[in-house]
Parts: sequence; structure tokens; C-alpha cells
Amino acid sequence: MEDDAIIQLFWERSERAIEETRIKYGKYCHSIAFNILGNPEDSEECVNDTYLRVWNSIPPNRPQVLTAYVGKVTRNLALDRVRARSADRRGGGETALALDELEDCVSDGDQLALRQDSREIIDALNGFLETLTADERNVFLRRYWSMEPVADIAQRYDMSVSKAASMLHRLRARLKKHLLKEGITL
Amino acid sequence: MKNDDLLDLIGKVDDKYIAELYDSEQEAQTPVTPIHAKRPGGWKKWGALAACLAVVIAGGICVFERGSTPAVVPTSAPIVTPASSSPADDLSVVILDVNPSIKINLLPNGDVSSVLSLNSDAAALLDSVDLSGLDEKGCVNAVMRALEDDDYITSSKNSVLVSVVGKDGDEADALRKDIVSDISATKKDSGIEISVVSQVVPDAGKYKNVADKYNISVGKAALIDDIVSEMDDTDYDYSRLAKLSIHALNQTMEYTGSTAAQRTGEVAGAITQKTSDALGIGKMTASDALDLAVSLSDTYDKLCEKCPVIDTSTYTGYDFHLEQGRDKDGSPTWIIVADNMLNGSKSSVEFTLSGDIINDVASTGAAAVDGALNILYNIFGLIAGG
Repeated sequence: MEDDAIIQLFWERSERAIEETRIKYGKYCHSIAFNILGNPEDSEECVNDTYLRVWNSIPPNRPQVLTAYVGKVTRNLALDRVRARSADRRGGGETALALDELEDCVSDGDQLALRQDSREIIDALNGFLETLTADERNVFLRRYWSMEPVADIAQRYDMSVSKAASMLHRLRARLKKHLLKEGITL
Repeated sequence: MKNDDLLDLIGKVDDKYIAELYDSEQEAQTPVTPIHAKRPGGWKKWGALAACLAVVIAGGICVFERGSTPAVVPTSAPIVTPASSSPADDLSVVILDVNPSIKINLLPNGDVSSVLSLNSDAAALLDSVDLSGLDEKGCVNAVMRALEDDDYITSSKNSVLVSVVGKDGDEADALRKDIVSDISATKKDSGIEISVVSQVVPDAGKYKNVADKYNISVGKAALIDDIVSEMDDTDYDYSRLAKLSIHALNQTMEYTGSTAAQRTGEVAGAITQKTSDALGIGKMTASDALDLAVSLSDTYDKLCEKCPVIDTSTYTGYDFHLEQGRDKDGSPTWIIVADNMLNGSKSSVEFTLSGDIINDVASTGAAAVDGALNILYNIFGLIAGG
């Protein structure tokens, strides 16, 4: 079913909307949740929460890109779950590794975060993504948006794991440089 | 700012990039370069060998398998997941090979995490199946039904290769046995006994280069590697065996007594030792045997090229069979029989390959058979000169 039709079902408050979302995006959402949480049971709950969150937010929202909408909801819910864990706040998925990798893009203090407008940083991130080739952009987002394991990314793009890791390292360096150029110090 | 914050902000990038990511995932299910480009009847290539050899046992089965219609690509939503192919080390990965090559990622609880097509035939096949919410058994059953519906598996081409990849030990072997059992159980519904070749491939990386080189799955590459390792005959090398269908590989294992993988269920068209001896096939070199099979299956392909419908019997009005006979001195003969399918007033035609020609086949390979079939073509006015 086309996204517009699914969104219309949500607006009509038809429960079929959830079923159609599950059919089209269920495994997509599950993969995002699993990458972040590293646990099938938690991932399943997270995906179910996603359906509920989407149900409760459409309407009033009418997403332009349903793929991104449900993906982002899943991602946010999964990250919330990771943060809520008391024993290990970073969970058993790829989140901890991704965070460690991003460490070299940020500074220690929170002061800059207070000064920086989030919207400004997001715009800079979009600008950075625009400078990349499609493959570079997808590799970057697979790692830091979908939190895919580096090994999976390497396999997907038919490269060695070390090459994928090296590519990600260069992309992080380019991100930092781009943000600096935009006057943003993280 | 902390890295958590940066991670959050990356989560808010423009939707178009996320859509692009999702779209690229969808495209990734069908490789840009098809692993097995499908030509008319091409996937039947070595099935013809199965058919012609089966004749010897059954007393008359099609040499050239009756054609089926080309795969139709349905319009239903794709069932393959856009998820990463193997999200974590604790996932089990199973590859099913026929000609379509399908990768199934299983969660530790046995649920299916994702199903990926590894070649274009698999992509078309999976497009017609809804695997949502199925566990391993349900998924395997659905895939097997689809393979049978699309004539990738028939009573005369009944082989499937199951490879549990990337793991070793009892757990992997238990999974292998479960899947073999599930596949074998499909006979209850379809009536087709599946011959399952199965293996555990602990180190998939070892075969990746050769799999890439020959555009085959790592499961098939591992099987071929084991077969080649077992054989003394240098004619059985990767380049030759990689061209064979799983069914032809299964038959090869049957003929040679290979133990390169576990095999369950009788492989269709496999020739018995007694019949092999009678026909003198055992005297052929590996190269000649392969040439013979290639020649026969190429013939079928040529007929298919002449007839896009890929139904040779409908096109020509004759149904081709290969039968075994014996000449006056008792030497075995092969008889190509063309049964008239449309007009009862026309008789069937037989073309006998004499014992001498069989001997020629043994010594010269495909040439003798090619020549004989060219004459057959002339009889029907199909393809002048072959």
C-alpha cells in the first residue's frame, strides 16, 4: 500500500493503518530497534510502541515521508529505552560503539551545546550529508542513524571491515571539519 | 555537547536522506548485476541431464523438459526486509539454493529476522510471497511452495541446497537438521520428494572471493569446494561445477558417491550404477560427460530461444523424449523420440544414437550428439544446421 493511503487510514482512525504499517515497515523498524537495543524482545516491544506512537501522532501530524517518520519514531524510542536502562545505559546493541566513535567529533563541555541552536546544527548536518556521495551518505547514516554493525555495512558494500571502519573514520573527520567551517564547535 | 546529543541530532536529519537510505535498501535486494542472468530456459540447463538420465530408469522421460512460462513478477509488496543482513553475531544465517538463492536470517528464538534475495531469480520469486510474521518453519514452507509454483522444483528437478552459514557446532547442525526436516515434510502437501543437500559452513569468509568470482552463493561455493577436494579428476574444477545447478551438483554427488555434504531424499534423474555401466557412461571422461549434458541442455535452450513461450512441445507439436534401447548385438542405444502432441495423423519420430555413436560420445564428447541433434532439427525444420 502506498504511504499516502496508509496515512489516510490513520486520519480515518482505521486500525487497518497499523496493520498496513506493520506489513510495509515492520521489519524495517525491527532492524533499527535491534541494531540499537541488541535484544529481540526489547526490539519487538519497541516496534509495538512505535505503532502506538504513530497512531497517537497521526493525526494531527501528516508526515511527508512515512518511511522517515516511522523510522525516526523507532529510533527515538529505542534510544530512550537504552537511556532508561539502569545497569547499562547504553544497552547491548551497536549504540555504545557508535557513541564511542562519535566521541572524536565532540568536546567535553556542555557550554557549547547551550549556545548552539539545535536547528542550526541539524542544518549543518544536512549540509554535510549533501557534500557526500550517495554511498558515503548511506554508509554514514547506516552507522549513525540506523546503527548497523560495521561488519554488515562492509558486507553490504562489498568491502573489508577495516576499509569500512577507515571510511567511517574519514567521514567523522570530514563532519568535524564541516561543522567547524559552519562555525559550530561541538 | 555530548556524543549522545550528536547522536540525537543525527536522528533529526532531513527525511529525504532517510528515504534514500530505505530506497537503497530496497534496491539492494536485487543485485545490479544478476548473479544468474536468466535466459529463456537457462535455468533448466542442467535439468536436461537429470531428465535424460532419468529416462534410463523410468524407460522414457523427457530429454528436454517441458518448458514453463517465464517468471511473472507480481505486484505485491516486497516481503524482503530492508533490515541489515545480519544485525548481530547471534543471528543464524541460512542460505537456500536452487537457482534462486535466498538468505534467511534467523533470530535466536527461531523467528525470521529478514529474508534476502541473492540473485535476480530469487528477487522475482520473493516478490510473490508474503513472509511477514512467519517463523523459520513457516518461512521455509512458503519459500518451497513458491519454488514449486514457479517450477524451480519439480518431480524431475527436486534438489535444494541448505547451508547454515557462519556458525559451527551442535547448534548449527541442529538448525540444519530442522530445516532439512521441514523441507522434507513439504512432500505431504506437494507430493514432490525433495532431495536436500545440506551443510554447515562455519567460515563463510573463506568462500567469499570464489563466490564473488563465479557469482554464486557462499553456500554453493563451499559445496563445490568440498566436491572438488574429493575428486581426483581435474576436469571437476570450480569453473565447470559453478555452472551447474544445485540439482546437477546433487546428481554429480550421486554418481561419484561424494560425501561433501549431507544428502537426504532421492535425487530425481539419478542414474543407477547398473544402468550407468550398461550405457558406458562410466567410461566417459568427466569432460565428456559434462559436454554431453551441456549439449543436450543447450539444445533445449536453442529451442526456447526460437520459442519465447518456452513450451517446446506446444511450439513444435512434438514432445521430446530420450529412451534407452539396444541394438542387434545388445549394445545400448539412446533413442530420441518425438511424440506427436497435436495431430494424430502424424506418427512419432525416433532417432537412434547407435552403440557406435555412444562410443563416439565417450571419445569425442559433445560433437557426436550435436551432430545427431542437428539432424533431428532438420527433421522438424526447426533450426537449420543447429
